[in-house]
Amino acid sequence: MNFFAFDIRKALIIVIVIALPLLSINMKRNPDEDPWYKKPFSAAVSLIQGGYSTFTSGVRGTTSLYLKLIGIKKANLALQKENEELRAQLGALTELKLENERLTKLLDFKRSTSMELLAAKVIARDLSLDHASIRINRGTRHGLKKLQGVITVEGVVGYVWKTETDSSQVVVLTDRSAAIDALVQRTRARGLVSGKNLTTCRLRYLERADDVAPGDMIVTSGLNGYFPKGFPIGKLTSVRKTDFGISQEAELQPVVNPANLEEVFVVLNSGQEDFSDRFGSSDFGPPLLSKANPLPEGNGEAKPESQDKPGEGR
Amino acid sequence: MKERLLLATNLSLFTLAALVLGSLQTALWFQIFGYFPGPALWIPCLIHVALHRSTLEAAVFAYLCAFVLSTMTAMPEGILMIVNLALVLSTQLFKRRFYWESSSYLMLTCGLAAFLFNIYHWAATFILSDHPLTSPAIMDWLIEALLTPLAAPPLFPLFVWIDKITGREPTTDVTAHIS
Repeated sequence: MNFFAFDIRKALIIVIVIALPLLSINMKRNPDEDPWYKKPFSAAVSLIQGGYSTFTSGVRGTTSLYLKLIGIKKANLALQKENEELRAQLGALTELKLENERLTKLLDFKRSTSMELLAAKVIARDLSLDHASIRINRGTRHGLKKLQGVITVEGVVGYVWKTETDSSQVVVLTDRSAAIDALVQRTRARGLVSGKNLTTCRLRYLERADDVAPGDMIVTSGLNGYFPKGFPIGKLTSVRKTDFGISQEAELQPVVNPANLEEVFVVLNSGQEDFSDRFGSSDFGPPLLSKANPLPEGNGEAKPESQDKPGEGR
Repeated sequence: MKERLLLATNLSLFTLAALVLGSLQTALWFQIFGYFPGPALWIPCLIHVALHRSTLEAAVFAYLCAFVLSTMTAMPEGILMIVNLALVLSTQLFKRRFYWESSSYLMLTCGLAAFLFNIYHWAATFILSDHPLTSPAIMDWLIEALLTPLAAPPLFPLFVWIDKITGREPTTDVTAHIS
C-alpha cells in the first residue's frame, strides 16, 4: 500500500527535526525573559559556570600567592640579613657612643684636675668569688707603683696591689683586705675603709665619741698622698655602737659600683689636690651622689635618731 | 732520669693548663659576661690530677696551681695553697668511698669541688686570716658549682692527651670513657 515505498514515520521525524529550529526562529518571544523551559538549564549553567569561575580564580589566586610567597621569602631573607647587619651596626655604634661618652667624661675630669692621672682599662676580674680585685692594662712600664690610688670620675675604686710590666692587680675597696684612710666629710672624724662584702664597705676604727650618722659622706683623707684629699669614697648607711668598747663601726655604700668598672684612672701623683671644696659642685661631682643619692640638706646633717642602733639600716 | 723528666713535663703542662684556664675564666668570661659568676675552669685540672695521681704528686700540683693562680686573685697565696690541698685530699677521699667509671662522675666531682673550694676558703679565712669572710656570696657559689661541671667534659680529653704525650697514663680508666 505504500505508494512511494518509503517509511512515513522516518520522514515525519526528519520534518519535525528540520521544522524545530525554524519554528524556534519564527516563534515570537519575550526578549527580556527566557522561556519557562529554559530556566532550569540557565540556572544550572549559571551555577556550574559560577563554580568553575570560583575554582579557577581560587587556583589562580593560590598559584599567584605561592609565586608571591617565593618572592616574599627571598625578600624576607634579604630583609632579615639587612636587619641583622643594621642591628649589629647599631649595637657597635651605641657601644662606641657610650664609650665616647665615658672617655669624654674621663678626659674632662683629667683636664679639670692638676693630678697626674693615667687612664687604664679593666681587663680581668678576680679568680675567687669572695675577693674583689681587678687587673688593669697598665704596669711598671707606664710608671705604676704599689699602693697608688685608683679612681674613676665618680669616686675611689681601690689601689694598686701587685705590679707587672704591662699590667697590674688592683684591690677594689670592697675587698676584705682593702684599707683606705678616710674622713667623715661633715665632722672630719677619721677611720679606715675596708670591704665587707662585694657591694658594701665598713668604716672601722672610728672613735666612740665621733659624730657620725647615716647619710654622711666618706671621703679620702689624702694623708698618705696616694689619693687626693676629699675625694668621695661612699655614703654611710648605718652606724653601730655597742654598749661597751672604745670604737664604733659604720657601713657604707661605695659611690663606685665595682661591678660596672671598665675604665679607671691611676693616680700617679695626687699633686696635693683637695676636692673638699669642689665635691658636690655643678661642674664636678659624682653622678651617683648628685642624682641617684642626693646629699641630705645641710650637706649631710646628722640624724641623731638613727644613731646608736646596732645593725640598723641594712 | 727520663721518668723524672716526664713527670716534670707533665706537671709543667698541667700548671700551664691551669694558668691558661684561670686566665680564660678571669678575662674572657669577664669580657663577655661581666661580673656574673662563671665556671671555675681550673678546677677540672686539679681534679684530674687528684683523681689519677698519688697523694704526693697531687699535693705538689696543688701548690704549683696555687702559686700560679695567686697572680689572679687578692686571696693570700698561703690560703689558696691550703684550700687546694684540702680539695685534693677531699677528692681522693671521695674517690675511695664512691667511684664509678663515667663522665657523670667527673662532672659530679668537679661540681662538688667548685662548691667545696668556696666552703674551704670561707673556713680558712676564719682560722688563718685577719679578714674573715663574714658575708659569703652563697648564690654565686652555687652558680659556679653548677657551671663548672658543664665546662669540665670538653677539658678532660685535653688532660688525657697531656698524660699520653708525657707517658703518664691514668691509673684508672675514668677519662677514657669521655675521650
